[in-house]
Amino acid sequence: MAELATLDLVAAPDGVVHGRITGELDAASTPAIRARLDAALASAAAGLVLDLSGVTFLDSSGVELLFRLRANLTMRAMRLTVVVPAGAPIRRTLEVSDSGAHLLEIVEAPPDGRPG
Amino acid sequence: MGRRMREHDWSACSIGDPRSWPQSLRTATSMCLNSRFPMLIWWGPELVKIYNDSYAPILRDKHPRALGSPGREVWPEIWDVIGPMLDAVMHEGQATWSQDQLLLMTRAGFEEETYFTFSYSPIIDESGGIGGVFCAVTETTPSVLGARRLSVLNEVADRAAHHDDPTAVARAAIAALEDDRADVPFALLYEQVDGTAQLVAAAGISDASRQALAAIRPQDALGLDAVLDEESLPPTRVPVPRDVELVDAGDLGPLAGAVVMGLDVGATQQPWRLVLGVPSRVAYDEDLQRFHELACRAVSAALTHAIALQDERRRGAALAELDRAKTDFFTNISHEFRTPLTLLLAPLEDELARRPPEASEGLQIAHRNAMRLLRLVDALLDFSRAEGGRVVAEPRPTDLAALTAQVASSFDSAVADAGLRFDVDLDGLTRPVQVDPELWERILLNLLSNALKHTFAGGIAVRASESDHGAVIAVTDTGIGIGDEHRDRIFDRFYRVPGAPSRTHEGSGIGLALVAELARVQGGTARVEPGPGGVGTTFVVELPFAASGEALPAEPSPLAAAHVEEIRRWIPEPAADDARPQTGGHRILVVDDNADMRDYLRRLLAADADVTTAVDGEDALARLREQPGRFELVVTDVMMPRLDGLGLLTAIRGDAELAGIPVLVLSARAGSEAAVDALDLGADDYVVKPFTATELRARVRSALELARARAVETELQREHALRMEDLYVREHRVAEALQRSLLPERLPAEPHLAVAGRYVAAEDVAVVGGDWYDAVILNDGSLVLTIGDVAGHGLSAAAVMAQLRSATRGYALRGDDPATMLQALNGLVATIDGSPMVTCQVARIDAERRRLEIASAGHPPAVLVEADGVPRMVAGAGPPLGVAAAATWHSQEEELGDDAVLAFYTDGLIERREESLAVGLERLTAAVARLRDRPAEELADGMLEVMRPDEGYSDDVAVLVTALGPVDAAMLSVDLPAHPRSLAMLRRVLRRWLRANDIDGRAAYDIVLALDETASNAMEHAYGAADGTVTVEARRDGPHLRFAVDDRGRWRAQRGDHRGRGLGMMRLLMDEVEVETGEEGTRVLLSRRVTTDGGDG
Repeated sequence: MAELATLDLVAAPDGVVHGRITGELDAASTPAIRARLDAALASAAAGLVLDLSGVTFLDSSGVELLFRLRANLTMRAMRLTVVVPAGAPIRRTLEVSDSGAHLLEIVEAPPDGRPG
Repeated sequence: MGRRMREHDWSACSIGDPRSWPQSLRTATSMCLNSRFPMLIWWGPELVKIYNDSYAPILRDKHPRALGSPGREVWPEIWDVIGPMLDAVMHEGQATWSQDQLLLMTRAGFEEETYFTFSYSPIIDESGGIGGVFCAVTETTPSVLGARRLSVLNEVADRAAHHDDPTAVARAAIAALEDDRADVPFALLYEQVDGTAQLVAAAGISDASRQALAAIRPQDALGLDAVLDEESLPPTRVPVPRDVELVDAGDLGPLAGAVVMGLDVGATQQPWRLVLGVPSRVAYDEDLQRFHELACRAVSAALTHAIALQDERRRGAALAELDRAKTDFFTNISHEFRTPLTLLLAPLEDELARRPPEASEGLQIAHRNAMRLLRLVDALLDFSRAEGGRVVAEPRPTDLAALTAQVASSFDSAVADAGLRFDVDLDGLTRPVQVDPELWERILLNLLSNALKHTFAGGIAVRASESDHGAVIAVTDTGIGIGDEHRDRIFDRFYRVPGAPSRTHEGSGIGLALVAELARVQGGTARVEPGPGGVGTTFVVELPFAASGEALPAEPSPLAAAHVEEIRRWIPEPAADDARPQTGGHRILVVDDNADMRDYLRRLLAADADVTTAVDGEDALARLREQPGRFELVVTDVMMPRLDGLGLLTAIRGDAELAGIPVLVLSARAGSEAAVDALDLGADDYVVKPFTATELRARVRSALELARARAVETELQREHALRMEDLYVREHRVAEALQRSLLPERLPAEPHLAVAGRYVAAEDVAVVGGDWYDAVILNDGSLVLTIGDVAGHGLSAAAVMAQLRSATRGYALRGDDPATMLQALNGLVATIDGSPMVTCQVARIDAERRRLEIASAGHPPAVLVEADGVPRMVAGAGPPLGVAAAATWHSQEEELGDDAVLAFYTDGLIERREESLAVGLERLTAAVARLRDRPAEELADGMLEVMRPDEGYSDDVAVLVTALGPVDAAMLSVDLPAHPRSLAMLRRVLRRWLRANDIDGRAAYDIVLALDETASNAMEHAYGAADGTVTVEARRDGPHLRFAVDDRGRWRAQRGDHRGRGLGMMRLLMDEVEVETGEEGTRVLLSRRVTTDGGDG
């Protein structure tokens, strides 16, 4: 089934879950993505790297997904790293979203060059 | 032959003129000539040949020259064999009999391997000596070759059966062909890999040849280009390939060439090619050609089987891996769940104890469900423990009788409610037993739950006694009992007695395995025996006595309560299915013995059907007979207790009242016999497990549509009997209605993207049916259009068409590109009875990026007209579906300009008597070009109007038109259903409109984001309102773009973080944001100043 946004997940040996989202993240596509991330994080030990390089559109429901993930992980002493390349159109969404996007740890490339 | 004898010039012959022949020769000749069996006479010292009509064909080119000629001159090539035989008869008078004698004859221009059965007997002449030899003969070449070839074919299958790796199977099968070098001088098997053909197996050639032929690339000029052909390949004769050097050629003689054939190993595999040598000493006649084809088929079959096996093994390995991962996951998550659950239960229990019961209803529900959660988590833990074999026991001296009594007592009321006796007698056990109390509790809980699950009448008993070694606890029930054949396996993990009646099919299948494991780690044993008098079952657990010491106190854990809570869910039995609310959809009967599967199927189909379930064939039959005509479709499993799926199918088809119900069979494995049997027994379709939800729904829809069509046909037959006179009119109407019922009622539409479809039935009733079209918009915004034509007409064509249409939708939703869809459809067509031929065209249009992908299976080209008004024909070329299993298709890609119009049609539109297709096509393209500015609906009508022959369409016609744009840059208005799913469409429409206004890049992103937020917000308000629509309007006002978003709910800007964030964003993205709240609803006005170069103004 073709979907608005798709999620690929890889669990690295160091306990960090790498997720890569492709497509458009909006109110219709976030619930399914969130459910899959939650399930994947139940067994994660160290943290989550979420690669948004393939996301072409992001609205506030997508931003909210990121905040929720961050809250969830922080409570369990884990880290969320969000990958958004420099110049990606969705940086605009993070820029204009009012409640502090500065709370998110955003990097321009995956930490260890892993595709996500 | 008599005439020929008379006319023959005997003057040159050593035996002289027939009038001078001795009486003995005349008598023999007359006998020979009058026989219809092939006979000949060898006469005189030169063995001159005289033969009859029946013998002449054996001589081929040697006839009639052979008549009256000396034997040695007629048959120099075989004289070394028959010469001595004839000599022996002539000199010793000894008659001979030769059976299937090999003779290498040259009688048709080439040296040929032949076989004969013949007898030689002496003819006594007037002198009393031997004057000649009488011979009766039959040619046995065909039967000898036939037997030899048959044995090779068997050998191929036999030897392949000893291997299961596809490559090994291929090698064994090809090696088997070496048994018959005379028919297959050499064999080469190639698999196409990335544009080259790799030699997988070879027979009959030298090692050097093998090396030279190991890989065939294009332009290798080895004479084997045919093996690179990607299309399906009928047997093709080619010259002897270069580099073929035979080994052990013996008396094979030279090669006459080679033949290349395509193997049929399933549509998804790479193409395989078989090259067989063509011998020169065996006629390359129909028999040899058929043999080569059969050899190819035997190799294909062996390979197909091996590949299917390999796939199955891979799946098995993947499943095992998944299983391990699952176990780890379960272990982790169960531990994580237990702590918070315990923290939840304790305060709940405190609170419950403090409050009066009437004031704590809510808390009780919370408590009950927390307990249930605990029990489920516990089951997960049990599961992973048993799986990982890591149960650790801490045995200590325990008063087992007391603990058992306590645990058992928590079952008292549940057993009573189930209408069973509960008999607990533990007096026989007094000594302390060495156990881990918690583990014992688990053993007992599992045994009691199990007994309760499978016992419907009578009772359950728990008894304790002492043996020489330890305590013996027996849990006996009067339930269904366990057959001998299952007793050995009952303690295996996941083992379930097939078809055992049960109160529930829930459960992990882990319980009894866990019992055995838990008994083992405590130094005990568990076994199962038939119950007293052969009724029911007794589970016996033996545990060692404690060596010494007092029993330590042991309290039962909350686990017992949780277990009983669980059991309460299925006592009394859940309400019957029929009590479910009726949704007014199709009535489907689902038959499966597995409760989980039943539930799954019910959930899957419940969206548009009333689903009733039955637990096996007999149950299903009872429900069907209770109300014949109630169910529109039966979906049944194959393997079931009592009456299985095939039995049910036979019963349905044999019952006049039920015979018309379509039956869809779920079969367990690909290519299983059961599926084939089911189709033979009259199943309408079968679905292989595991299946996807999309696939099953599509198949069910097809089956229902087929049923509807069938009902219409039955109606037709009834009418036929009633009123013959206006039958023609009626038939036409019914057939047309049937066809229409299978076409989509509504086609998708978006602003700037219109789709229109038309179907016109042929004037002649006999040719109605088989054309179809469909259009669907995917979530990613692309539009998939399909049009097709099933060869043949009437009900069967319509049925095929329905199936193809459903399947096409499934493939489209899966995200297949057009070529892949055709590939998959071809595979589907191959499974349809009679493999009908189908032409079909699939197009996928990305309206936003203006891209078209199109693939065609033998279908006439689509007509594309863009803004310049010049018509073009577009078509990906490829063979029709159903012609060859190994055929492949390619998608052609096109950029679409603005205002593109695409017209698809079936051949009935352009076919006309006494006119070539080219002329029709020309008229059509001109018509589409002329009408391109009309709305899609009018364009479709216009095409039919212009193309219509005076006498009306003689074949069915389907037309499908799609028009992109034009986009009105000045304004835009779009109504969106109040659901987040419509946001994607809004963004597409907006982007298209912005592009028409030359707004791109960041400004476009900002605007799209702001409108997405506003609409998303509005949807939350409008949702649930009567109208349920959000309207977005846009308008260009000089340098300003102005937008309005209307809903019929109330705007609440301040509620919640998320909502506020949305509004804040809008203000940053747009120059002005204004919210107007009125009686009717809320209107949000937004504007932004832009420059035409795409930047901000």
